[in-house]
Amino acid sequence: MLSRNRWRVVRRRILQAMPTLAIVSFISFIILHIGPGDPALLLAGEFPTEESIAEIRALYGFDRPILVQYASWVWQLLQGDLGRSLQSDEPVLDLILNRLPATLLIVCYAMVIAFVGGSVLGIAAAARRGGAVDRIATGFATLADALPYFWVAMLLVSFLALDWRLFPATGAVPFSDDPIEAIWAATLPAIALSISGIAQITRQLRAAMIEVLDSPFVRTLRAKGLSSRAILWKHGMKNVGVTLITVVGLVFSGKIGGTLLTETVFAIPGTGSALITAAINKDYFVVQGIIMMLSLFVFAVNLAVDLLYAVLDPRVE
Amino acid sequence: MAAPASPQARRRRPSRLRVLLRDAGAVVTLAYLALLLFVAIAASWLAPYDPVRLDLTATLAGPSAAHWAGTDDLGRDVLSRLMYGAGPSVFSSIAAVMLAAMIGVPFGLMAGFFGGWVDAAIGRVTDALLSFPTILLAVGIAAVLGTSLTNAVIAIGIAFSPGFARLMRATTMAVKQELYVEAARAIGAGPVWLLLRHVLPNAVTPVIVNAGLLLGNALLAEASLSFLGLGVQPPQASWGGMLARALIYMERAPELMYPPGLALVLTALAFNSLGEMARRWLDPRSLSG
Repeated sequence: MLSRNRWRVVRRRILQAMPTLAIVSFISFIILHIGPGDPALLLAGEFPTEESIAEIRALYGFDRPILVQYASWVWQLLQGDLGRSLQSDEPVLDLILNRLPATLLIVCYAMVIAFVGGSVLGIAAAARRGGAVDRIATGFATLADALPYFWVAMLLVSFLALDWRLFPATGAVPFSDDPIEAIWAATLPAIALSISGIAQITRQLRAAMIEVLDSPFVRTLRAKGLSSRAILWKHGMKNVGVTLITVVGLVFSGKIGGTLLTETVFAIPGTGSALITAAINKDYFVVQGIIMMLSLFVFAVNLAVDLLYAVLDPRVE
Repeated sequence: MAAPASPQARRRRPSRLRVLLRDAGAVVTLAYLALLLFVAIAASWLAPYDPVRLDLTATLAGPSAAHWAGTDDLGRDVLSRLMYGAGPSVFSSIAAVMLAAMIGVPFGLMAGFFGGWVDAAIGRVTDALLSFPTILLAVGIAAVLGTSLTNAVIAIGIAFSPGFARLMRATTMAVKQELYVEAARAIGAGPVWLLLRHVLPNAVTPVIVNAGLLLGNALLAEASLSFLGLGVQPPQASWGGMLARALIYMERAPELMYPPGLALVLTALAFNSLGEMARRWLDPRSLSG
């Protein structure tokens, strides 16, 4: 069971996350609304008059002080109302909920690939430092840092979808319709999205494992005659667990960003592609809603990582 | 990131430049970047065609004697567009990283130097921005400012600034603890003197190293924004924008994705390697250890 101190750490972490979330929402709201480009002008159609613009401003409440607008946005947010799309008049919340499953599927799928691939590569590389696997893993990590998500995605589509017809080139199948087809269709996007994550996890895990294997206690274990394999699996794994959890939070944040590009290449009707369309068309409430929603996921994962960290690492007290 | 110091570097005090030039990878990197810079500056003299000239009689043609890298969907010469695209890519990534440093460094300096509530406030915002996916932030900012290369640079600059702030804060706090700073304060040095004379000189190296390591990321971020239609606007040539066209015509002309894609990967590799070189060269610890 967790000690009282641990609970205090957990409680503090949760409380710390709240103002951070408030700051993000506030900053993004302010910059979206004071930035150049007037949504009222956009809505007023092709031949706007002074009156029609003022009317639209009043209708949407753009004429109120910015802090009042923010307060009313937060108030509506708490009631589950994120406003309406300036383009399609669809409620933003509906739009997000319709598109979220496709995004979550490829992000989670990519996380699984990155986690498994990165763990295997990282541990194998650390186990035989300087060996063939290590050199391949390190080289791959270096290359992956320089690969744009969208180009990898295009290469995958070109070869595996268009040339060899192994996977569908574009689109997504709703998970609720046919889970197997959905996963099949999400495979290429997930691979494209996972590349940089594999590299990140490989690099971090390799470094952490090498540090453990070089530490004095491992030397003692070796002197006592414990086999390399036993040291790696029993003592190494136990000590890199914390690193692994920490890097997962980092990788998740990267995947959420990368999904904007991946969804665009594969024409997946997710939140990422919707954000891009909304950003180009200055559809403020949609941009704000999707950014809030995606950052909420990033925060939730970071919080979970922090909590796990507080629970697992004996040094956190 | 921590690459083991090369064996040469561990020997006793060879000239740093000699160490660098003995490394084949470093030489290739520098040669490539020199070539790239030359092409970026001299594109208008080097390019065989006008990058926006349409030739609707020769669209989506493969490589030929007239068009070494073929033509795109509007019959524009791919090689010329690639050369013209180098400038925006290279200079905008440098500009974005410089902007990030110019925003992040003063804030980090203030946070580390003054501590207290200033530190707490800046730290909160920095943490919030750092946990935010960079590209998401950049898309959000680009949405506000409108779609142009300048705005993409501003967006990337803002998105990358918290890293500089955090680095600068740590450096400032470390320097503040030093005995000689304590001594300077004791003989009556004011905060401005302390910052200019002691803190800033110590911060130059980590800031440059961080800037070098970020260049590659900035390049890919700019290409991503241009790819999404939020950066360089057509018909102006950019590598990200060329890939966006290649995506549309992927079935009919898959070869269109190779020139800009390879240019991006090679340049990102070169930038990352340059950052790594800057780190090894400037960071005294990595040379001795």
